This record gives sequence, C-alpha cells and structure tokens, in this order.
Amino acid sequence: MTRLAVAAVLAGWTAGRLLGPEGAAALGRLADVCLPALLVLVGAELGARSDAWRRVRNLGPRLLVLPGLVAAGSVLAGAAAGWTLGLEPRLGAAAGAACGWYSLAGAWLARHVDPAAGAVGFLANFLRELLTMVVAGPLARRLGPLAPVAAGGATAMDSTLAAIARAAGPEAALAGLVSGLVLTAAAPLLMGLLAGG
Amino acid sequence: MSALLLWLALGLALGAAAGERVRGGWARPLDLAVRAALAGLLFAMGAALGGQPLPARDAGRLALQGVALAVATVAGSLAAVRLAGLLAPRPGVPGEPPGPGGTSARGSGP
Repeated sequence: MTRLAVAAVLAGWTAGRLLGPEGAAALGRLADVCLPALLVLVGAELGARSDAWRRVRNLGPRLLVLPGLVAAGSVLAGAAAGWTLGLEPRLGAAAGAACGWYSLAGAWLARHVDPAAGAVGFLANFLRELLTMVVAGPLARRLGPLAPVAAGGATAMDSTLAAIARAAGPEAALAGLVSGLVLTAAAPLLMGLLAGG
Repeated sequence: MSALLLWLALGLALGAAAGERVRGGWARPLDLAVRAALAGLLFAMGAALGGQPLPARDAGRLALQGVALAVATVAGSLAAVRLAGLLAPRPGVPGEPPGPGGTSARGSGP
C-alpha cells in the first residue's frame, strides 16, 4: 500500500507538471469522485466488522478513553506545531486529526484549503505511519505496549497492525484494532469540525 | 455536519447491512476498489501539486512542515498514552475487574 501511495502521488505530480495548471486542475477533480468513494468503501469495511464493534460496545465508554486521548494529543500537538511553523493552527490541528489517515488528510486539505496544505497534511500523516512502523519496537519497550498503538493512530487497525503485534504482542494489537477503528470513524468528523467543510 | 462523515456513515450502513458478504466473497473486490479509490485520490492530489510548481525553497518549507507535524503528532499521542496508561483498561484484559490483591482475575492463576 505504501508503494502504491508513493507511486500514485509521483505519477499525479508528473502528469500535473506535464499538463500545466489547467490540465492539472482537470485531473485534480478526480478527487471529487475518489474521496467520497474511498469513504464509502472504507465505511463498508468498518461496518462489516461486527465482531470488533461488538467488542467496542461490550467494553463501553472506558474503551473510548484511549482513542480519545490519542486524538486529543494529536490535534493539540498538530495545532501547536502548526503555530510554531507558521501554519494556521487549525490546519495543523486538522492534519493531526487525521491520525495517520494520509489519503484523507492530503485530499481533504488540498480540496478545501490549497494544494500546498494538502501536501503538508499528506506528508505529515504518511510519515506518521512510516515512523510508527520503524519505532514500534523501541516505543513498546520504553513506554509500554500502548505506545505504538498511540503512535499509529487510525492506522493501528490496518497498515501498522502487524508492526504493533510484533512489537507489543497480540493484546496490544487487539487494543490497536479497536482504537484504530474508533479513530478511523472519528477522523472525518474531527477534520470537518476543525477546519470546516 | 461534515460531508465526509455522511459518506462514511453511508459506507458503515452498507457494510453493516451486507455483513457476511463483505467479509466473504466481496472482500477481494472491495479491497481492490479501496486501492483504486486511494490511487485515484493520491494521483489527483499529486496532479494538483504538480500543476502549481513551487520554488525549491517553498518545497523545502512544505517538507519541513510535514516532517515536523509528523513528529509532533506522534509525540502528542505518546504524551496522551501516558495518561491512557493510567486511565484506560489494560490491553488484553479490557474492562476486567481486578481480582483479589488488586491483580487481574485472569492473570492471578491458581
């Protein structure tokens, strides 16, 4: 998936360079179809995981503490970093609210703010996923089994799940699955609330 | 309310209604469709970026902002997990009441 993502961005960037601003704008409208399609498809995958949702229901509101804190930490740190870096804090917060869902962050910010904001949102969340895969082991050893789950954010339910399981064990992987599920469902809402749209 | 959420809610409802079929025979086509939508989305984003070429200095600034945001959001979530370690249920025994002596009932052994 990582290779596909990098290849798609590079192919689009090359096409945009070759076609110029007008052609690139026409290609950019592909996002108007692909973003809703991606959300419906991801939603369908989530909705079909009745076993995971049953676990969420059985555990009750206490289970929301972990993804709630992960999202809050990510949003606040994103806002603070955005402010420090000269970005609008709400854009940093919105990029943080994606919790690693780089395709959502990149496309949504590119569409509702500008392509440069989309690039920052994409890169921040893409690197978050890569960083989690690389440092999951040391994080689990130094900060405990929930640390790689927190670092992975929404990706803890799919792309970084294997790294979490290997670094922190199957129990942390279960916590990651549920936390990632909740964060994936919450990310579009949080991004919409923080930056409009 | 965010349009994003409405699309996600539509997907959740469809997935819940389809249930077994999504996990069974539809799993592979759904996975391919997700990959296609993701590729299309990222291609469109790349095209939008490529159509407005940036001076090298701006590209460097965007890269720096992306890297700094990635590190900051991970650090923010890790800071939160320190709180989560105090408040959230332990992985593997979520919601389980403590057994005698304050240990997990499942982990206390014979």
